[in-house]
Amino acid sequence: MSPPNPIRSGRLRFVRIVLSCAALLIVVLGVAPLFGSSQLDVLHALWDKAPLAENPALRVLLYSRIPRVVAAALAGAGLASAGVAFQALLRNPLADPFTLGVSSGSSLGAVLAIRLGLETVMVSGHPLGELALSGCALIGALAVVALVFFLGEKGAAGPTTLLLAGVTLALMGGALITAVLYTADFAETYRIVRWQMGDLDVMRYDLVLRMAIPVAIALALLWPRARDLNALSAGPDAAAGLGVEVQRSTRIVYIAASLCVAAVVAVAGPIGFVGLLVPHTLRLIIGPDHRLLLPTSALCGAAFLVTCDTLAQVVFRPAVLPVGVLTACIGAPFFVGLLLSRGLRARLWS
Amino acid sequence: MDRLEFGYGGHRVLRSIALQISAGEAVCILGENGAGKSTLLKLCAGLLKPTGGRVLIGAEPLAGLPRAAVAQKIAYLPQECTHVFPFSALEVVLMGRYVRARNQFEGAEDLSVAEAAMAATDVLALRERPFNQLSGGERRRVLLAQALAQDTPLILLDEPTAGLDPAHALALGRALDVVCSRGKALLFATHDLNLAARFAPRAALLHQGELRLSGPTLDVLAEAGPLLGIQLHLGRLPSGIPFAVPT
Repeated sequence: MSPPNPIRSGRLRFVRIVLSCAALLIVVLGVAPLFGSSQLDVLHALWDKAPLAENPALRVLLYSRIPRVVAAALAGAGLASAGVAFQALLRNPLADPFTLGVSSGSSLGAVLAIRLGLETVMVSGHPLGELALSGCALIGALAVVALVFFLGEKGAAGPTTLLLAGVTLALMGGALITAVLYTADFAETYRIVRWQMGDLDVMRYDLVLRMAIPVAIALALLWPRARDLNALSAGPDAAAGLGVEVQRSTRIVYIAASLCVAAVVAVAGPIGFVGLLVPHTLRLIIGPDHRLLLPTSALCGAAFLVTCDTLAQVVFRPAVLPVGVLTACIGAPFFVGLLLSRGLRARLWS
Repeated sequence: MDRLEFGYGGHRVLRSIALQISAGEAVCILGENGAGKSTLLKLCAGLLKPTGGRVLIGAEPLAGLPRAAVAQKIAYLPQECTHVFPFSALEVVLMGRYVRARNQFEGAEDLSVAEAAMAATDVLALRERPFNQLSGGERRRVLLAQALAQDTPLILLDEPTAGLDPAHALALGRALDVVCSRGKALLFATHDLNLAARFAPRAALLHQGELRLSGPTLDVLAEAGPLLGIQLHLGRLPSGIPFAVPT
């Protein structure tokens, strides 16, 4: 019998774990479209030779359930990856798109877009539509990140200060959103409130694509920086001593993570706790190595959010719960438990 | 083989410092708190840019080299080093292979280098333990192993024995000796005069940002008293080990 591989980050172990997570995601992706807010005989619809126009079950599957599942997977992957990235960058296990205020900056942008009616603004003969919302969400996210980043670069701010700054920004964003709501009319208020719930309802393929491209770019930027994030766990000076181009690396990771959050929030609204819940659970199982943590967080984050979204459709059928409500209901108790259990905490961070 | 020269004006933290270290040599930097020891080490590591003068490695100036190139020549251990996430001791040592490993994942060669380094600093038995749960002395020796695994001709250490109990401080000193005997040049800042006397043949003393004394450690210590604000009694144990006691 050969001794166990002493490196937790060995290549073989990487392949094994990533493949397991990928298999989990594939199973979830395969099963999830079978369930939805309405009861459909999906399997029968698939084997039905009737043309698409005469096969409503297949149409629901193709135009409602599958895009929704793919959107949930992308959002989950993006949010979980952004969580890992922010936690590593700020050397703070409690950092996540929400605690840093990135989500609320993004929300404020989107809410302003709704309130100001930017969707109806005509550009060269076409209305801006949802592009206005996405664009504003992205600007909001980047503005907050720029601010947090600026505080970090100024050096005066340690990880705790940054987190406090993030929480403050989040509170301010919330207050501004309330102010916008106060001035909004009934229809706008309804849209804003619904949007803020974090919802994957009415997913269309063009929306899915609008989320897929930035998330894919962000993940492609993040993964090669995994070793840098490992080294940064010991602080910027120690990482630089090991040969990490600290400034370049942190900038890339910041931008990639914000891009993820903005893309997801713009399309799906704020969905909380994925960036905390998924990375911490994975750290308990596979350890802190970011080379493993980044890809597995993306895969498991996707599987997690797809599962949550499917549950959200099924539990109170035919009513559909916004998925953000469900992730918060699962995430908050988990996180409180994590904070209270010293044993678990010691295995996650010091 | 390592020729280092420093200047750092403006701030006037350090003024026209010239120092040279050769392979296999251990040099300690002495001085009061705020004398500029840490600044000097950071300059040497390329973490701060000098406002004047330059640092040379061999004949090559440090300025302008990319970090990866610097890290192949100089390992730097900051005074405080804790990991946020619970990496194992071995994983921390393997991080020393950042600029050496050819792929994202360290290979068998990296692993054997890391384990040899851990054996040299006597921490191989701790390899599976979480770094953060080790004692201060064990952590410093793990980091020394990391620097060894980085395989650089020069290792910089900022107060390697700060906060260590006598047993761990001695163990660290011995580990420094082992590292030196492998042809590495060591430059470390310390307040531990006995560590300096015993393990560093050469010393440099900084006082208010200026290099005031430089030479064989015992000679430096003999004149160091007034500059450190103390009187020093130097002597040797019957076994030949030098000591320095403030009186």
